[in-house]
Amino acid sequence: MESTDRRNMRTQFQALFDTLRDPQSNSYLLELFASMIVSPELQEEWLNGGDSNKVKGCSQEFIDSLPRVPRSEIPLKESCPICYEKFGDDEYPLVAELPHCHHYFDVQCISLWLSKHATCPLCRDVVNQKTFDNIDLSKAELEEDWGMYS
Amino acid sequence: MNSRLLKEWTQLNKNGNKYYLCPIEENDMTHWQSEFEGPNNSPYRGHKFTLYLDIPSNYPMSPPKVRFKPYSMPHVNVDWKTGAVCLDILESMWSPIFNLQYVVESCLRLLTEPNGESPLNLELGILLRVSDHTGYNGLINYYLNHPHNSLSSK
Amino acid sequence: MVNNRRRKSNQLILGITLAIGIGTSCYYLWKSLQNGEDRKISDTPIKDATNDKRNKSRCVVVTSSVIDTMNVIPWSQLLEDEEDLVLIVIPSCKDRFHLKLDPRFAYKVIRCDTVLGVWSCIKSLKKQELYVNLEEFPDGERNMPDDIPRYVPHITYWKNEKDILTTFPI
Repeated sequence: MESTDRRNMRTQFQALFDTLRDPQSNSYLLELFASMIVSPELQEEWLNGGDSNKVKGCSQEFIDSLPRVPRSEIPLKESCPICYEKFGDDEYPLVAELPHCHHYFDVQCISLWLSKHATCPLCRDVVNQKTFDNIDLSKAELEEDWGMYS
Repeated sequence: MNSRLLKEWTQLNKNGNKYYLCPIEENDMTHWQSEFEGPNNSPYRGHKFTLYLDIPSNYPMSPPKVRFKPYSMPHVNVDWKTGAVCLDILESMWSPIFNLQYVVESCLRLLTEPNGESPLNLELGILLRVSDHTGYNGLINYYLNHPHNSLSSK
Repeated sequence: MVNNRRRKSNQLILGITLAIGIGTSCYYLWKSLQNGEDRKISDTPIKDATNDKRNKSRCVVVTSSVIDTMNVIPWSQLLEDEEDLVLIVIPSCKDRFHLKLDPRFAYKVIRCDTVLGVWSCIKSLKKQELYVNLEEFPDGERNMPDDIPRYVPHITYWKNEKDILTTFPI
């Protein structure tokens, strides 16, 4: 079989496989048939590739809004834990600080990681969780009187 | 991220590369191998093992693909035929701060701390689960000592 | 013309194949009739060790009757000579089965703490032949798991020491 034919067949199989994976589809027999024809390794590859649509990463908006460490506060002798390069080796270092755990990374490195993940590479803290730092405590006193002591 | 690999390679050479981690071919940084001895407090002591590491193009954003030499590692979390390793840090628990040395060390740790919950070798998994230590060690010892040709056809 | 010739040669091939098949069946039938009286009722005829030891792939489960043969059958020698022979010792015999064995071959004796462990080893090793006396297993554990035949094609059920000696004649 020519390689182009084989490639076309593979693409079609992959498309079929993707449709059958959809939990809405109820063609169990076809799914069984496809899983018998397609090798387990290839199935795994397609499964992993297919999941890139359902990325568990952070939104671009969140990534762009990561606080930047001011130039003067960047620990130039320390290295980015992802690329192992010293922050100071860059002429114009761009360093981001994760809002919850406060770990530092190169902006470029952490952006790439967070596009597909939502945890800190160092401590696995969930980066886009809401924190309690921003609660306005001044309003709390006003609401204390719930009429329970009347 | 090739510069990361180069940095690792430099560090390994500087710090005494105790797991003999190196690219298999000089100019190809995508295929590495490592050689180490089984830990003393394990049924693997006295035997040498080879680990192959295939580095993806977006490393360290993705983990390397790791496998032992086929038909050489009888272990609960290793596929005997392909050498594939089932290890959490190589999948969901991967972090880009990990490096190849850490990967090798984690595989080494597996030899003393097999994970009974995700067995790739079902029979060894059962022996572990029912705490049949004599059988577990005995079966591993058999595979480690028996000539490979007769076992590779299974 | 060509079709006729092709059909004739197909028929010839078919004829030869049938003849061979019938001939082979007749031979085996005759052979089995010859050995009929000596055969035990088992899945496979108990083979003796005069066959070429090199090609054998055997797994023997060591139970008490095997231990009784220790002074008679040279197990250590067998383990050295037969490349693909493995002995799996059931828990109750673990401390009773001690051979003076060349350390190079010691790995061929696998002891187990559990009966489940014994079956797991058998499944893992996938030898061609299995020899086992189920009646000497502990009470309540005398049934062979249903899937063992999927891992070992030829299973021989020993009943006593005599059966062992038939398989491993001295």
